[in-house]
Formats: sequence, structure tokens, C-alpha cells
Amino acid sequence: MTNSTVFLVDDEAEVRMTLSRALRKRGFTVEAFDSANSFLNQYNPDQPGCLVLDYGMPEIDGLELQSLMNKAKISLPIVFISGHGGVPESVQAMKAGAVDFLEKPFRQYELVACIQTAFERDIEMRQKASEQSDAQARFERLTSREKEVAIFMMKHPSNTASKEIGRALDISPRTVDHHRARILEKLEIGSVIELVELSHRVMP
Amino acid sequence: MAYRFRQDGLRFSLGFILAISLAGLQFIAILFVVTTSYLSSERAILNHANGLMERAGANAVGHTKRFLEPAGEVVDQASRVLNSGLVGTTDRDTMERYFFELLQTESSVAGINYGDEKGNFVYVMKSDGPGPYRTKFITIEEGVRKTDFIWRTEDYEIVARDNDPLDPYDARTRPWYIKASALDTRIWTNPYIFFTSQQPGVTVASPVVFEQEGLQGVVGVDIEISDISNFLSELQVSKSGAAVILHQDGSVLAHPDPDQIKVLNDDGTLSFANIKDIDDPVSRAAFANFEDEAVTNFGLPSNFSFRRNDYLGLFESLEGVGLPWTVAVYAPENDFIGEIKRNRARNIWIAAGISLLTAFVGLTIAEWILRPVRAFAVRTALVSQGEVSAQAPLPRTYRELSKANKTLINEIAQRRDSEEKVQELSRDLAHFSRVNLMGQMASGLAHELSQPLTAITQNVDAAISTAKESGAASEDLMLILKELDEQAHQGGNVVRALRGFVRKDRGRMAVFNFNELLDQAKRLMRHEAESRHVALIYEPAKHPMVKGNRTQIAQVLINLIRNAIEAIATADSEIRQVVVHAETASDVLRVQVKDTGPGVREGVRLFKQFQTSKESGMGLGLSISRSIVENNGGRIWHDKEAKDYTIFCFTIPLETQ
Repeated sequence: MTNSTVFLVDDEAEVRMTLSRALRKRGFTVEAFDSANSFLNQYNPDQPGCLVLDYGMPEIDGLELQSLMNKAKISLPIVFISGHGGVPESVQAMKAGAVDFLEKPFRQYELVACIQTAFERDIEMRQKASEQSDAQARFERLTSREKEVAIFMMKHPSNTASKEIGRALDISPRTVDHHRARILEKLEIGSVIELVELSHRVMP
Repeated sequence: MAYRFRQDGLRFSLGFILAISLAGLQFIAILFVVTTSYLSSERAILNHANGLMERAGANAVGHTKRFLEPAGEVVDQASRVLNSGLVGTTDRDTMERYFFELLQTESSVAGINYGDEKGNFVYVMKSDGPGPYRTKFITIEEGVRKTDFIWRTEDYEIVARDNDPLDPYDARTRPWYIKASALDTRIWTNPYIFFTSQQPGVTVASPVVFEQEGLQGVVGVDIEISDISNFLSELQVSKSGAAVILHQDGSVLAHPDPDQIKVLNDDGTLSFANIKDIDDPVSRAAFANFEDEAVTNFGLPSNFSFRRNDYLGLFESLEGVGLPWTVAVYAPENDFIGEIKRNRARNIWIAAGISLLTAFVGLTIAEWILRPVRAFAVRTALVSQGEVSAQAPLPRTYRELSKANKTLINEIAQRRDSEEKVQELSRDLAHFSRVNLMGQMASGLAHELSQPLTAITQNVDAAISTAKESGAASEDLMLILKELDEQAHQGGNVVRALRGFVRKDRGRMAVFNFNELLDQAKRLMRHEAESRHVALIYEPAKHPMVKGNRTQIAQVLINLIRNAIEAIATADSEIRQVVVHAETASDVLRVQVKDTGPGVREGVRLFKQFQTSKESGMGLGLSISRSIVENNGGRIWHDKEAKDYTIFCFTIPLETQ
């Protein structure tokens, strides 16, 4: 949580000011925005952290911002805070992946707990994403024939004998053996079993 | 709330039209039959009448001929006998006897005479007395003239004798003698009034010529034609028709009234009356054409008018007999067709009577036909006043009408129903808006209060952190700050309770027809729009059914329309229109409310509570609308792009969702 930031979006100036001050006092790094638009304009998706989002705002409200972010594949976890506190809205927010939905005024420890959860979730997601892109990068090193062989093995984990692969792809078993060795070398893995595991990460 | 039916249909009642047309048709039909039958029977009867006239004319001619012929035969016989010398021209006794015998055989002959070149004269004639026959002798012996008269009985017995030395008669000077001797053939004289009998007559004469000696004298036969008049009077041409015989010179020779034909001259002699002077206007009129002897169309009808009466006329010539005479027959047309003329008038009266009767029958029938129609009219009035249900069985009526009846009654009932629905919606809306207003105010307060309460709790949290940092966190201060936090949260609980109290009621969600709702809303707003001279326009179209709380959606719609009307009225816009338009967009119905008002004032945060540009508004309308629309699963927004109009839009989910 060292470099994670709390991004706060609320149109009420009082709330924005007091909430960011209190969180800073508790040691959080806080960036506050007065509207969904100003947040979208300034936020860099590489910045880790979470979003504390007011539900009721003019123009783009909290739920709308959430759906905009989902569409833009910005996976920053969201903690909703609301002065309206309607059950339907909270259900919708949770369904769309929110960490929690807090009604104003809320207990500070609840918010802090939510922020912690959100940070953890963010870090986890970023790690997964980087592993995935790493595996993806290694996979991209393969030649097109090697990719063909690798994909066949990923799809048919029980039929990894060279003869069967050769018959299916219309190449000799020897060539298959050759390709298999190159694949394991390029993907930096030791066995075909690891290849299958990798495949889950590359193609979830 | 009774509906007034339009009265701008036909001006006359069905009954009146039926009666008039029935009576009129009847009258025309009867009149037609009467006229055609009258004309055809008139023609037939007139033809027949002409036939009758022709027969009467031919009859008169035939009779006249037959009347005159014996005289001709007598004179022929006498002249043959005298010419042959069987009776000597100088043997006056034998001649007398011979003439006497001839006279007895022919009743129409009035007298027979013989005059010779020397002036001798024998004349045997019928007489009134002292005996039935009279003979007149004129003898010239050695220059001495002697005139003797002998009267005899039927048996030739002498009854009386007389003489007259002063008698001036000389046969040789008479027209018949002159004409016959000159022409040397049998001649007819013009008619004249006989000297002795004073009767109209005519003489047929033939010369007596010996082969050696030449002309000896002339034998003449007198025939009285007053009998022809008698015959004519008996000749029944028609009831008041008549026949007249006329000489070429216009003298009336025979007339049904024999007295008409004689005129007493100044010198005491008698002559024939001229047709122009006769005391019989009809005859005068009949012969008006005859004046210049122009009548040549013998045997053809020669019709004329007299005193407004039409007469049929006919001329027959006696030329064939050698006489320049003309028989005229005439009869008033009415003698023949008077009866059917009277019939015609009577028939027209009958036609009028029947027409009146038909008109009465027509009125009765119309009344009978109209009864179900009237019953229907009464029913519609009752239904429109709500006194009878539209579902009640309709009064019996004609097949043609029953369908229209049903449709009309249903239409009326539907109107009443929809009117009631509008009223119901209005009541619902009033109730809903009262409840909603309270709810909105409470929820607004809750929202507004939650902000400072949040700020307080955050400040407490910051204060605690600050106190801990500075190491000045005395127990008292920490207690105070914790209590402060607790109190703020208690405030929060109150706010939450308030929020829960007015927990938005989604109400009864139902599937409904938006067009119907729009129509009702428009009717609710009509007075408001009219009083502010704003045209409320919407185009009804077919849309899928929508799902939501009908009353709440109505509230939103009316709120938007009212805002639009008020905006136009306040700004006093030139074009005053509010247009409501709805269209389907994927899975929602999008409703637009456009107005020609001044638009939204800069800086007003629409859809926020207590935000308004109206002088007397609380700023809750749009915020309520927003929460309603969102509760119903739709969205509401202000279209900022629109230029000519101010446009507010909202969506309602379609039924399929």
C-alpha cells in the first residue's frame, strides 16, 4: 500500500475537503476530484489504488462513471459513498464490481477497511495482468508453425504424443519433436503440463 | 356532461320526405295514366266522330240525290213522250191527263208543266184546295190570251173551275224555259221560291224538239225542296250537330229549321237567305271558310271553333249530280268527347285524392319505420348521460342500423369511460404528488443533512489523528471527540430513518399504453394550455406497450408539459407551441417534450432539489421527475444540443424488457 492512491470523486466541496484531509492524516495518499469528468481527464490507469466515489452527482453520476470505466477496461476498484442510499442503486453498483456501498455518514473504520480491501484487490489484479502480459510476450516469440503446435497441445492436453500431433497438423513426428523442444525453450518452461497452465493465463 | 349531437344533417325529417315522395310519385303516375288514356281515347273517339260525320254527309248527299232523281226521271219521260208524239204538243187535254198521272206516281214532284214557243202553257200541280190537284191552262188563240184553272180530285173529277184574264204569266220568260231551250238539254234551275206555293223549290227542264220543226217547247218538273230541310232536321248527326245545304252563291237551300231559309224581300217576294245573314251563328261560323268558294277539300275534315267550343266540320259536294250544291255537316266536339273530358277532370281529382291518401299512408309508414330509429336516438342520449349502461341490450332496430348503433353506443361509452379515466388519473396524480412532494422534501433534507454530518465525522477523525500526532491527546479530549463522532452518527441514523420512512415506493408496476396516457395527460392540460394560448401538439402513433407505474409516469409527463407551458407564458414567446413526441429506441420508449420557450437559464442545476428558475417554485418538479423516471428504470435529461426548442427527454422501458 506504499504507492497506492485513494482517488476521491465527490461534487460536495465540504465532503471532498474533510474526507481527503482525514484520510491523509491516516497516512493515505489522496487525490480529490469534483466531478467524474475531471477524474477521467486526469487519471492515468497505471496509477494503482482505489476510487472512493460519490453516487449522486450532476451530469455523470457514480454509477455512470462505473460503467464508463468498465467499458474502458479501467479496473480500479470502487468504494461507493452515497447521501441517497437507495437499495436498488447499491445492488446495481455491487453487481458491476464495486467493493462496497457506504451510506453517508459512515464509520471511518468501515471506509478504511473498504479502502484496504480495494488496495489488495488492485494489487492482485495488476500482478495478474503483468504476468499475463509477460506470458503473452513469451508466446509472441514463437514462429507461426510453433504457435500452431503449441495451441494444439493447449487445446488437447491428453493427446500430446508427437505422432498424433503430426497426423493432425500433417507434419512428421520428428518435426513435431523439434518444434516441441523450441517451444519449451522459448516459453521458458520445463514440461507440457506447464504449457497448459500458461495457456490459462494467456487465454483466460 | 351530455354530448351534443351534431344537427347539420338533412333539413327534412325522414317521415316528411317519405310522405312527399310517395304522394308525389302517386300523383305523377295517375296523372300520366289519365292523360295518356284521355289522349288515346280522344283520338279514337274523334276518328269515330269523323266517320260518323262522313256518314252523315254521305247520307245527306244520297238523300238529296234520291230526292231529286225522280224529278229528273219524270222530266226525261215526259220529254220522250212529247218528242215521240205519243202525246201531241197541242193536245192539251191528253197532256193534262198525262201530267196528272205522272204527278200521282211521284210524290216528291210538286208540279209538271209544258210551255210552247207560242206562249201556250199547261201546268198540273198539287194543290191545297178546293181539290188536291189543279191544272192551269194558258191558251193563246188568235192573239187572245185565256187563263183557266181546273181543280180535280184524285180520281180526275173536276171539283171547281176558274179563270183569270189578268194573269201575266208567260213560261217563255221563265229561267228554266230560257236555259233549257238555249242549252238544248236537260237543265236544273237555281232554287227559287215557287210563285204559287211559296215553297223553295227547283225546276228540272228539258226541251221538246221535233226533228223537222225544231224546238216546240220546254217541259218542266217542279220539285219542292222544303222536304230536304225536313230530312236534314231528322238526320241525327249528333246530339246538337246539324247538316246544311248551300248553293254556290251562298244561299241556304236546306236547313234543319226550314223557316231560316226564306227572306221576305221589300217587294213582297220571297228569296233564299244568304248564309252570311242566317240566324244561326254555328252555321255561319262553319261556312266562314266558304265565303270565297275556297272550300275544295270536299270529304276532308274542316274543323272550326265557335264561342270557345271546338266543332268538327265536313263538306260534301253534290257536283256529281250536276248541282252546284254543297252539303255541310258539323257537330260540336263535345258531343263526342264531352264525356271523357268530364272523366279526365274527375280522374285528376281522384288522383289528387289518392295522393293525399298516399301522403297520409306515407306519414304513417314513416312513423312506423322511424320508431326504432327514434328509440335508438333516445338510447344514445341516455347512454351519453350515463343513465343507461352501454352494455344494456339495444332496442330492436333494422339490420342496416344495428351495427352503426352498436358502434355509436360503444363510442359514446368509450368517451365516457375515457373521460372518467382522465378524472381518475387526475385524482391519482393529486394524491401522488402530495405524497411525493412530502417524500421528496424529506429525502432532500436527508441528502442535504448527510453532507455536513459526513464532514463532521471526517473532521472528528482528522482531529483525533492530529491530537495523537501532537501527543496532546488527553483522555478528556479523546472522549469529547468520540462523543462528537457518536453524536454525528446518531444524526446520521435519524437521516437514515427519515430516508427509510420515505423509502421510494416503486408502486404498482404495470404494462400500459403510453399513447392512451398521453391522450389523457393532454386532456388534463388542455385548459391550462388554452388559458395561456399555448398549442399543445402531439402526434399519436402506434408504440409497443411500456412497463412502469402509470401514475408516476403521468406525473413526469404533466410536470414537463406544465414547465413548458409556464416557460412560454412567462417569456411571452411569439410562437407558442408545446410538442410531445414519442418514439421507440431499442428497448425503451423515448419521450420528448419540446417547447418554444426561452430555454434553461445558465447556472441552474437541473434535476437537483431546490433548484429553480421560477419565481414561485420549490425546485422539486424535475428532481421528483428524475427520481420517478429512474425508479421506473428510465432516464431523464435535458437535450442541450437542441437550438430552436427547449427539449426534455425521458425514457420508459418497453414491455418486452
